[in-house]
Amino acid sequence: MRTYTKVYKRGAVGRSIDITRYSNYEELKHDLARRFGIEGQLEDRHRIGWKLVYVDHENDVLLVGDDPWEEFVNCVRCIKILSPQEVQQMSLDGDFGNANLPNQACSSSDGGNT
Amino acid sequence: MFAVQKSSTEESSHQKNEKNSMNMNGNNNGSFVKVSMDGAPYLRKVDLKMYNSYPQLSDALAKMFSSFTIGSCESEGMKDFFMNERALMDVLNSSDYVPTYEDKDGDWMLVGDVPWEMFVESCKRLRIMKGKEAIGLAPRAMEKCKNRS
Repeated sequence: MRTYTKVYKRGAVGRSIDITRYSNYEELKHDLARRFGIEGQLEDRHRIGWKLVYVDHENDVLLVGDDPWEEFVNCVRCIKILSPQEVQQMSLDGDFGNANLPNQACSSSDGGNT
Repeated sequence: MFAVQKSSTEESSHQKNEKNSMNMNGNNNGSFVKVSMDGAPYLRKVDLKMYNSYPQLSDALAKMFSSFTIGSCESEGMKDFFMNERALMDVLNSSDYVPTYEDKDGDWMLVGDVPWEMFVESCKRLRIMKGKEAIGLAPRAMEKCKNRS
């Protein structure tokens, strides 16, 4: 059964994507930027800017792009688009070590258990 | 096609891996480990086989997390730690960051004690802790420093 990956952005309705439709990070970012109306802003590699992160099977929040693409596809559970303000906010709040962010939990779209 | 930038500050580990794949030797499948830094909003991943020494790794980590440290002294402190163990006491006593790693036994160890190759083999995950939290983690290292001074 095909599973879809949820994509969240604060203030926007969530989207679901079939991650296997993309073959690399560029295609993924381009499509997500288009869907959420932030074209071009996910490509930027500036320090301050919109960030694409994901929650993996170990419940860690990582920056999208570090892993080989196939590895990413295997372990991604959900994706989040963070605004510059959110990134800054999370940096300030994260003083208590490896933070478990309150809004971190992502439900799987195949109705799986937590 | 990747956008090429002069500064590799935000370059992903995967992009670097692609560029250098020709230079890698033998059975290199990459050795990607998660890197977390206390206070950072998200984790990163690095391929340890991209580096040949502790200073190279510390340089890459400092660049990766430079946008999250307040002021440049933190990342400098981490570089100093790799280069010079006398700085360890200063780092642990200050609010600077200390690199630790989880080894194959599941223990959290201070980075830098074992030879580089051994570290690459046994490191499963990196965590850059705030100095004060790391004090209880490395009693042996503190002993070493006391004996030197």
